[in-house]
Amino acid sequence: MKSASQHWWLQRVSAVVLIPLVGWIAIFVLGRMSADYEGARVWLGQPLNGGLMIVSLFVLYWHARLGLQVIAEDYVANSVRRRRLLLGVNGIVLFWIAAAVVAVCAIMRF
Amino acid sequence: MLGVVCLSGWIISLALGEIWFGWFDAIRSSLLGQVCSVAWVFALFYHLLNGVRHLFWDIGWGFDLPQVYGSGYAAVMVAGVLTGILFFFA
Repeated sequence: MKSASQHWWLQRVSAVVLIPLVGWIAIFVLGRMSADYEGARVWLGQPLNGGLMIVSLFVLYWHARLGLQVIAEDYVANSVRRRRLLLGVNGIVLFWIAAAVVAVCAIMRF
Repeated sequence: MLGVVCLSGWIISLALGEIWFGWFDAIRSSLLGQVCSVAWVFALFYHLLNGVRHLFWDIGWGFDLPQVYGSGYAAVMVAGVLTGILFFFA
């Protein structure tokens, strides 16, 4: 598959997968972000919650990366600057996804 | 995108320990943190609803101009209502 049509499909697939995941985050996660350190750790340490969080993080960052790529391709005409920008986006996304997934694993382990 | 980074920040602070979580909670519960929380939740719901609109357009539904306008205004209003509901229960 050509990379543009692959991008299109990955964008749609990640969008459809995110509909239930964002619902889960809105109902079960956002309310837990206020206070109660121990309670939040215990909750996120449950296999189902931690597992869904890791899946959500992967799909959310993947969807965000695809969207930022489109913005760069549409609005940055200079190809060198565009490539540097996309490298930066990839680096930032990789950093945050790695840190967050390692953190979930650490909470589930202990 | 920034909201997801904040979600990650919450998870990372949970893993690092109670002192870091205290810092996260101090920022989140500050006035600026609360305003940003509401704005991000609204943006998340608005993005979700608009994404669903685009998915329907992709399969050829609701692409007449009156329907496009109608669903556009509905997305803004439903996102506002969902944001209100979320912060009412949070």
